[in-house]
Amino acid sequence: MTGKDRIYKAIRREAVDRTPWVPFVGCHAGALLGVPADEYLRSEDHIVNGVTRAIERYHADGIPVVFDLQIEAETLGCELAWAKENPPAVTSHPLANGTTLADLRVPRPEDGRIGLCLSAARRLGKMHPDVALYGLITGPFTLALHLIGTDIFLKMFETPNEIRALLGFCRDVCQAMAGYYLKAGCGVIALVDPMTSQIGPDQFKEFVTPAAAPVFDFIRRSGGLGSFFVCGHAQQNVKAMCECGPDNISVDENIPLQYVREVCESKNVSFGGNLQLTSVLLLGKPADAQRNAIACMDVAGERGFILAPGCDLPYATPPENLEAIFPVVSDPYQRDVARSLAIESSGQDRLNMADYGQQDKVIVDIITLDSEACAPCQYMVDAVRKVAPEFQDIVEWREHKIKYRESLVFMASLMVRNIPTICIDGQITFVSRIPPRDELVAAIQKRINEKFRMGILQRQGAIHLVGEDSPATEAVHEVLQRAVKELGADVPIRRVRDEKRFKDYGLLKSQTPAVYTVKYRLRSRGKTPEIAAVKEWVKDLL
Amino acid sequence: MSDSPLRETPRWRGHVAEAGQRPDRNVSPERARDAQRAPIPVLLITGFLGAGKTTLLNHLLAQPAVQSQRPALLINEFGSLGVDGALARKGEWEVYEINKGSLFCSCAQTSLLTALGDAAQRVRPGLLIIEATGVSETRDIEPLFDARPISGAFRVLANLALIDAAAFTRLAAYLRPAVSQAAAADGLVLNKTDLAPAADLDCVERLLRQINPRAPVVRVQRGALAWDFIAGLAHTRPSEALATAPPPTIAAASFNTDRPVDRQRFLEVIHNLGASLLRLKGNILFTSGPCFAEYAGQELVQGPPLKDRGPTAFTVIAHGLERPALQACFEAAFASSV
Repeated sequence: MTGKDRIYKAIRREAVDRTPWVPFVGCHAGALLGVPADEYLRSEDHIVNGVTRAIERYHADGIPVVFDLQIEAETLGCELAWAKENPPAVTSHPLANGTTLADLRVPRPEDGRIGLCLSAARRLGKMHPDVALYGLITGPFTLALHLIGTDIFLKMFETPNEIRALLGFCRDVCQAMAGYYLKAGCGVIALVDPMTSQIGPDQFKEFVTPAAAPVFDFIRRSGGLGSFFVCGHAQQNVKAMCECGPDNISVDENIPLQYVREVCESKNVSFGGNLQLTSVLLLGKPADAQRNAIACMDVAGERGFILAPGCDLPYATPPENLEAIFPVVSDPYQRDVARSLAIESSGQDRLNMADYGQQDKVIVDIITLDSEACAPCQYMVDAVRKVAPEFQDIVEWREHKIKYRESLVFMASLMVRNIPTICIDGQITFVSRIPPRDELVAAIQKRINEKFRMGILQRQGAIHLVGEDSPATEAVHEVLQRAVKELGADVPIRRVRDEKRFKDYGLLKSQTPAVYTVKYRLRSRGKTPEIAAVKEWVKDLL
Repeated sequence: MSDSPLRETPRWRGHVAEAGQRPDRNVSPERARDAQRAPIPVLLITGFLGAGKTTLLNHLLAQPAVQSQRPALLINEFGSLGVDGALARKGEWEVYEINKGSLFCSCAQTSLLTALGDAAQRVRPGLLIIEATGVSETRDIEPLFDARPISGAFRVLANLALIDAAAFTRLAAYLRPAVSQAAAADGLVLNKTDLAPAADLDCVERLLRQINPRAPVVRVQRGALAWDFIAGLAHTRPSEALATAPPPTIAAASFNTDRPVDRQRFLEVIHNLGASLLRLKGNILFTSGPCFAEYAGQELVQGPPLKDRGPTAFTVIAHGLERPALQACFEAAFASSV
């Protein structure tokens, strides 16, 4: 099965031999060539060479020809600010600067940079016939925002017909661009509309659906496959996106993949995503990328899923992190190895938790994916948040979101394997189960009691009365007993009567009766203490 | 400056941070020392484009209480550059400018991380003021301070949301971050109070107190906020703030039809919605004749119908009820609905 077959089948929710993998390489391909983004995105040759290099290095089943959401906007009169390590940014909006909608016309294939993108697509199609080429087009809402600026949000209320007309124009642009890319050999058209994450499902259905749905209908009638890309906090719109009629949707790390799977399967739409761009692919190591890829595949299942980053890869993404993905995608053995390594080999990063939870407060750690994005995690965090104030300042709780590397290390150090999990003073207490209030209170209270007992033990002391049985010694004993009784203290009085032991106290018989107080302090339990630690204890005694 | 990974801008004594520039992961002895220093306090300013963030920022920068803290600025605006250049030139503060245009998603976070990394390692300001883009989610910004390259280098002093008193109720139903920024704020600055009628102001303030009951609200004109207000704020991480006080529903519904509306029933609907009704605007074909109606600040203004709209074409925004319920309320006002 070729990469192209694999992608097409996965998009159609047909069976595939393995999970297909699509690195969303945009200006990052410039980094592979050693050219800055502003040069890369304006050169047909660079695009062809950069994408080719990415296909070869990352063993891509599919790949975008260009990832630049400013191409249509630039052609329609938006000014751009170019950057060395970024796609360009739109800095002016023609419809906010005197241009009217009637002045704009749908771009032709030769306008602006469209021609070089289409030419690159044709060349790449011939060079890599087994790879699925994605033609990326700016979604209607994002394009409308480019053209009119952020006034779009106020105008959705003030002059909704104006915005509907604008989105109608953007729909025509999207449809034209989809047609150009299909004709140039792209089998998958991705409508990339990140700005829709800013609006709710009601506004999505009112303004975006009428513009997006006809584009997907057009793509289907033209024999292509349509994918709807979004990024950011767009969970609220996933259902509405599916109802626009795409074959596939693709999301970033802000939307839980499990949620996307459930919605998409109910709508018979395939889905893709959502490798973490910053914390894993940019800042992490190859092992992190492999772990993340495996986690995505585990959640997504075997049918109708395409593994991909959440969005356009940053320019400086370390290539070795992306190279690490293919082995775990293609080889079950490598996957198992990576799984084992993920669990066992992160020892180098592990924290020394031997003394964790020994301080006065009880620490409740909640290990989550992210309580803002994962419902079970949220419920677990809520459960602890509600209970903690009942213990006033005795209990302190913390959430550890494993999307951050530090939290992942913390999780491994506590030997936590499931999410979400509650640990009390470092001990795994509730795993993948939201504890009822009473159960949680009881678990925390149990730990408080343990600490209380431990505190008593640590503070324990005794009185040693040294001296043979004699009236003088008995008189001292009576005084000691009375003092302890009047204080209500739990302090034992130990009698040392054996004359041979007097010297242990540095005493002569003539110096008795004598009284010693002894205070015990627990320093170590169930382990061999470090010698440096013992020296510190000894110093305390000197 | 030349050894900085960031490019110098000709306009300001500052830098342009670009996404994709990789924050340095090597820990130098100097950086290790920095890590032991106290975290840099951060003042985060959010608010929709046009809410007056730049004016407020300039007002703050003019105050000795701010100048004495050796501030640095990180401007993360959407599609335009916001700080008053003249004022920035006068000061000695460092300015980081992140203009990500339309890209504000995960891939944009690298720019912010790069700028924060430079501020933590090289500049070490006494106060970092971040002017966030109007479409950014506050909850996305704060976790960035936990990211490995800059972990422990910053602490959020306060998170201010600037609210455009004249536009907020129109915007809230359409732009999710407008509400979530307010919900996550430690302090709410109701700006442009001179441009909104008193009744409208009360309506916005009431709504803000429902969205975020824990944050104090201050009314200002032209961004004239005293540092004392910020100094008195207590910071709460957005995730905690949002979880304890979910923002109320703010729904919008549009009607576009030829069906006539019964004026009496329509007025009853408005009366019954009371303070829940935030805005209404558009043409309404009453059985007694067509007119244009606009509701704001608990006042209904009527006039001749707009020519570019249908006979009954209006949009209504309310809080405290879902869209279907809002639609049902006004459906009952149509003459044919009985």
